[in-house]
Amino acid sequence: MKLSDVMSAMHVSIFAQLPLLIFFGIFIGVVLHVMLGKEEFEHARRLPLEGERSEGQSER
Amino acid sequence: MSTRIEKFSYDDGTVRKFVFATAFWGVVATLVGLWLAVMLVAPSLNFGLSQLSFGRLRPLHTNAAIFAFAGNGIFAAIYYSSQRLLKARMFSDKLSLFHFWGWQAIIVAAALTLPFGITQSKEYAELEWPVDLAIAVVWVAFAVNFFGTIARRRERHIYVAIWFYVATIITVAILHIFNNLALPVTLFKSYSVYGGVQDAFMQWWYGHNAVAFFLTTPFLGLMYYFLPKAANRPVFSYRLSILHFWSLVFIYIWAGPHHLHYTALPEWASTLGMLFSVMLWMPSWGGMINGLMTLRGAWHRVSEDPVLKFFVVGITFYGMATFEGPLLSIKSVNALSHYTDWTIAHVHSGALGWNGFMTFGMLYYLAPRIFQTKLWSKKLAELHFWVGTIGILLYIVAIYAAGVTQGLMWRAFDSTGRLAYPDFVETVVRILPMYWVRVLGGSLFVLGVVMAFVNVLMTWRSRPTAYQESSDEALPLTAYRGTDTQLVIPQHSTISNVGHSLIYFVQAKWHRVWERKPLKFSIWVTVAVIVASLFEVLPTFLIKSNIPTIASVTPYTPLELTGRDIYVAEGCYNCHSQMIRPIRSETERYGEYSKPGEFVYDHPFQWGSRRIGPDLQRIGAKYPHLWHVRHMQDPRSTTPQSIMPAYGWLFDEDLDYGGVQKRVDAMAMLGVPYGNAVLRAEGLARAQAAQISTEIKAQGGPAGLEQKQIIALIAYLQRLGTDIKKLPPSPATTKPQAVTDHAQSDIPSTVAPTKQSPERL
Repeated sequence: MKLSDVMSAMHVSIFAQLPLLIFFGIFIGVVLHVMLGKEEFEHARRLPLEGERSEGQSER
Repeated sequence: MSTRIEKFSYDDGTVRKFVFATAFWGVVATLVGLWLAVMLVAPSLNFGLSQLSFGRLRPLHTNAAIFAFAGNGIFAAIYYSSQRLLKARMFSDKLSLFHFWGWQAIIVAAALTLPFGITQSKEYAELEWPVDLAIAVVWVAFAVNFFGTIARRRERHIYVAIWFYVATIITVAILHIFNNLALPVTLFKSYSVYGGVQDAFMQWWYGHNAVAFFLTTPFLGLMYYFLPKAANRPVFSYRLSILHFWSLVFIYIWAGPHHLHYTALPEWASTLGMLFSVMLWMPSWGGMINGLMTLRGAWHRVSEDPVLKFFVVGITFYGMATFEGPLLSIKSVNALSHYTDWTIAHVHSGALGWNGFMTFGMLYYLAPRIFQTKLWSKKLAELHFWVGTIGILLYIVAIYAAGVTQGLMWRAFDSTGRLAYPDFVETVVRILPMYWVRVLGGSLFVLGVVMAFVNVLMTWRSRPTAYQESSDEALPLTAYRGTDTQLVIPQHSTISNVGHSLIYFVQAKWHRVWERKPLKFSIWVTVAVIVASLFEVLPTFLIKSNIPTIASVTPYTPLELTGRDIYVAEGCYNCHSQMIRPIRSETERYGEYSKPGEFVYDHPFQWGSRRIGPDLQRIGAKYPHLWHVRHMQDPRSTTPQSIMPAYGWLFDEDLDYGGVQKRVDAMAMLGVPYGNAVLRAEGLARAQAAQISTEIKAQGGPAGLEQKQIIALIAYLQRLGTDIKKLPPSPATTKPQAVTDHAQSDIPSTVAPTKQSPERL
């Protein structure tokens, strides 16, 4: 039996439904993640603002 | 454990090079675009030169805008921001140099090949196989340099901008490799290993994700670094950045099939593409909201800072374009918009507004810092902002109007149930005034790009005699070793091990660990992209019912195949589709709708994405040969008011009969069933050319065309879409020996199909 036989025997709607389930599973996981541990993100969000020693001049 | 603070310097020399390249190629890309816009209203302005024709130059414009202007822009952003976010100099100065010059060489190679008709004809992937190989090598060098820098970083946490860069580097590599798999015929010619529907699917899997991972994710990375810097405000919500990063990476890769609604693509794939495209709205707006909200408390500075002005308008265009994208992916909307200028307006609102303005904002931010002097003229930057904004608005409003007008006219019926505008050219003439407005808007935008180039150049001229080295200091990464939170289960806990694992997962400490382990993080990005791709690719390639074969569809004759290659080289797909959708207005105008089985021998597919001219799927046998001769010599002699350029050079340049055999051999290697025809391709081609040439002369046309390129193109055009009108060959003709037994006068059926099965039409 070839892989194409297996795939052809499956109902095509499975290829739309399964990805949705996978996506929502991952989405819920990431939502849970970002809802917890607020303090730990504080350092991360300020990373670009940590200046170097010799920034070039700006007119501002 | 070492806790000694380390001092180090940044490589800004490479950033300076990429900044110059961005400004320079920005001028080139937009000038070519402007020239193309002018040629659409004045087609004779190619001066009869093949190298300046619309079909050949349009890929040069798109490639220059995406890979030269935006590409150099994102490299400047990545080289500058990554070093500072990772607190490390780039991994290798030599690799940085190789990356810069290698990329510029690739751009020059594009400029030297595309105008000469050396193309694969896959949009945004037109470059031929030697250049594709060079792109792969340079990209790998870039990846090694980037990941090497991550490996020797001093900042433990990997900031969200770096995540976007990681996703870009990994995904672009995957897209580039798999979409460009091709069999070389000569040094400058190859055939895609995919055919027909599968080739179309792969192309738009690539095409859409080129927008996603070359024009979106790196620019979001750019936004997450340069916007907080320019506003001197931390990013509004780091949580939102995580949420929309993973959502974008996971969703974007599925959305490609929305470029192929109502085509011969399987319905399930089209629906899946639409579904995920609509879902894309959420994470896209997550990025936009995060960007704009980062300016909380700094809005008062927008009025006085051109950098922030460019960023604000750029992010706003991102929001508009990513609202419109999902809208256009809805099938009923797409039925109206597809093939029209609406898509062109959508693309330009994203490219000029989002990519262009974010790049200009970054250039004006970087110029004083990397050249270590004041920006030459803040007033000129302000002027650029206003000229550019007005230019974009004029451009897109006119082209939106043109697109909607086109779409409505194509589908309009009169009170008797017939097409209200049966002549395609009527719909072209109606939108020409809007094309003039585009020329005006485009001119303003180009003027703005020139201002940016001058400003960058003059800032560089006022640089100090010697640059002060940009340096920093930080603890080495080893100072943090062993401080990551791990799953620890107390000895006498009343909670089970599974419970502890669950708590660990829900607390999401694992993600914080990932953010410090780039290899693991990169692997999961790769998994997300590959899993999503395979869900669409495997069924498209493996489900047999996706592409029902048609018994009467046979391979192109050697001459038709050669003509097809001329069609590809001239970039005809840039203006003409070969895909009739199952929509009444299309079948009324063009004929029977297109079937998947009609394209099985098309390497590469030629469905196109735009109709500046009419669809050509059923052009075969619609007109006599002489009509095509006259039309190609002077399109306005057969279609007054046509905006198609004349193709005089096809009547001057000889057909390369010597190369016919190689083309057929390559197709046979790809599985096209040429049977014994593969042994005498040149002879068959000459015989068919002589036959068509004789018919042209008999119709009152010029003699001696059998030696010219035009004859092959006519052979191809006359074949298009005719197979389904033929009766299937009898079983006897399907045997290989039937090929050699055939009379020379019956050229089109001298190739014997073997891939056949009945198909319900």
